[in-house]
Amino acid sequence: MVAFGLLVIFVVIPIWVPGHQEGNYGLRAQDAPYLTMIVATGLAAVFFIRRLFVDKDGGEPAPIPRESWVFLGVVAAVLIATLVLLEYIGILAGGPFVVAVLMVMMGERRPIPIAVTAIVAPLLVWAFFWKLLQFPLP
Amino acid sequence: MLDMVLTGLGQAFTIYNMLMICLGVFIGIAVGAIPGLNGPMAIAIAVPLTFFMGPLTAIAFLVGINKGANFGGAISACLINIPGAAEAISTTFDGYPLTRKGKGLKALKMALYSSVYGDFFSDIVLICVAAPFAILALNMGSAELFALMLFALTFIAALVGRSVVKGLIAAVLGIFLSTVGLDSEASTPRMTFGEIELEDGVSLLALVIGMLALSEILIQVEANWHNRKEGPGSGGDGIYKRSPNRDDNVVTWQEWKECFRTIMRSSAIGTVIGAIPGLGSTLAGFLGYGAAKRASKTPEEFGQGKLEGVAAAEAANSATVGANLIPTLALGIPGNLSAAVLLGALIIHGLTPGPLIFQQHGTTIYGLFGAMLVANFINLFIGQGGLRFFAWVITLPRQYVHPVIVLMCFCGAYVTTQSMFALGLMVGFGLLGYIMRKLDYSIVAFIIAFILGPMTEDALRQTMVLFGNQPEMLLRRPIAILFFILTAISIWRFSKAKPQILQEPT
Repeated sequence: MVAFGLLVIFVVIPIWVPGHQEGNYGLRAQDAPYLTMIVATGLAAVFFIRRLFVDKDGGEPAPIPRESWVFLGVVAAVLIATLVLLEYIGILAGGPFVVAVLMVMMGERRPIPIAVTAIVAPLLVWAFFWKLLQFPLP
Repeated sequence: MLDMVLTGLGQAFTIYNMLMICLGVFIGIAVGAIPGLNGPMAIAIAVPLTFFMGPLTAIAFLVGINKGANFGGAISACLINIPGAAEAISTTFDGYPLTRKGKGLKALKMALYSSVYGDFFSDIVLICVAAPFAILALNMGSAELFALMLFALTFIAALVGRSVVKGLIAAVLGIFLSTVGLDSEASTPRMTFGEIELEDGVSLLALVIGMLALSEILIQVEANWHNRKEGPGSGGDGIYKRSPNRDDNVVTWQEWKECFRTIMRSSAIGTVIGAIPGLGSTLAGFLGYGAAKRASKTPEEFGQGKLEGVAAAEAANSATVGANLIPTLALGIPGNLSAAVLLGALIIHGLTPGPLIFQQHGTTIYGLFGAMLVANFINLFIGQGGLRFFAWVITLPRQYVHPVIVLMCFCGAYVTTQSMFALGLMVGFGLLGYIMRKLDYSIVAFIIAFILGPMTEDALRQTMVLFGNQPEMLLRRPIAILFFILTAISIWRFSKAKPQILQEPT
């Protein structure tokens, strides 16, 4: 968090927020991003130092365990694959994919309930948004 | 004035609005009854459904969901001892023991009646107080507004969770993220990275759906993925059975009379707690329950299946629903997470909450008040008629419900902007929300700060322009000084309070 804060303060804001200002009064567009990120980085530094020297044995919740990172990687891959399917094929491909994969991840192993849910749910959602509300879906 | 009120009420009482409120209440109760799903999540997912509705219908529909979800949480709390939402935790204390005695339906009915009463009471207070409050607030300029926003931001301290530092980091990052996009004064692009779609800022809906709904579902998917569910999490375990004895399935007039004093007391407690931004309905439920126990002649019966305990908890947590909208509508300060999401929905529908809302959109707001009163009765009828159905809903396996909700998240985020960019943002915020929940960073503080951030910055920048870069001029404005003093008191108060008591679970 501290490294991210420093990166934003010294690289991102100077490049992506113009510093010039028309007129001679008021706050600059850069001021709020700078102020908030400096405060966030300062707080993160306080937290880091406290963890390092004061609360060595914890007091704070344990960091994310390894299996949760594995889960996060898998679920991120599933969600990104869903985005790709939605972008290039559409809801009627991306929908069944995400529903089926998540059902399997949640422990459902019977093929018929998975197939029925994965096909019927996206169809209903598509019909509701596209046919009933006239909202285009990807 | 009277014309405005009558026109507003007239607009509320149309068949179409009633139907949408019914739908909202029904969805709210069903969602609220399912453990792990809650009102703010349902409102966030439902906001895109309101794009084809007028502002009044849309907000009435969302308020219906909010009211329904508030009662819905009590269903699983009473029947399977798992609160559908955090505010129903105190309902489990006596609701579940009553169910174990075969009086589940009686407990549910008392929860419904007291919930509707508490909600109705706070709606009346809202209607009486909000407009005068806004008239007072009309005397405020940008300097006073800035001081007020500073005061409002201190209430985030109540939502920071177990770690104050982490909570403050989350809040400050929320404000930082709100600066992305064209700045309101000079239209200078800030951190848009050349993306045109970021020029309007980060999509509020993508952020809310991702952080509230998707991240919560991911946490629950993970629980099943690691096969470490606790308790009867995937649904009912057969404990809900109807007793053949009629008295066990209804609330008698005598029981209602015995509980009425408690319901009145809890409604007042919930209304006061709800009107103070940041304190939350969970705290109201605990305080209402605690007050009933202290006032009771038989406090030892609480926790053993006492009907009064259910009434106390439900009346108190439901009384925050209307009261939360007092600061939301009159000052633009969301009272809790549901109010924050509703605030976002109001803005999306062109209604900017704050002191001017009664002048600019008075008819719609009085229409909303009418719709809220109607929603209470609809909540009563739908709740009463559908108790057994909703009891069945909580038995639906999560592995069917949650994947479909993820699909709804995708659709909801897409219809806002019709762009894949919003979907990418929603997924990104879902993953970020998952990490924040795991690391115990407050999502609530992040979202509320994201909403309040731009208002605070705009007010400060206007003030600086107005005062010619002389901030000391702020000290010549008495109302601003009052809010600065309140801000100092608020910081002092929250720094003394125990974070776990004030924590608003997400």
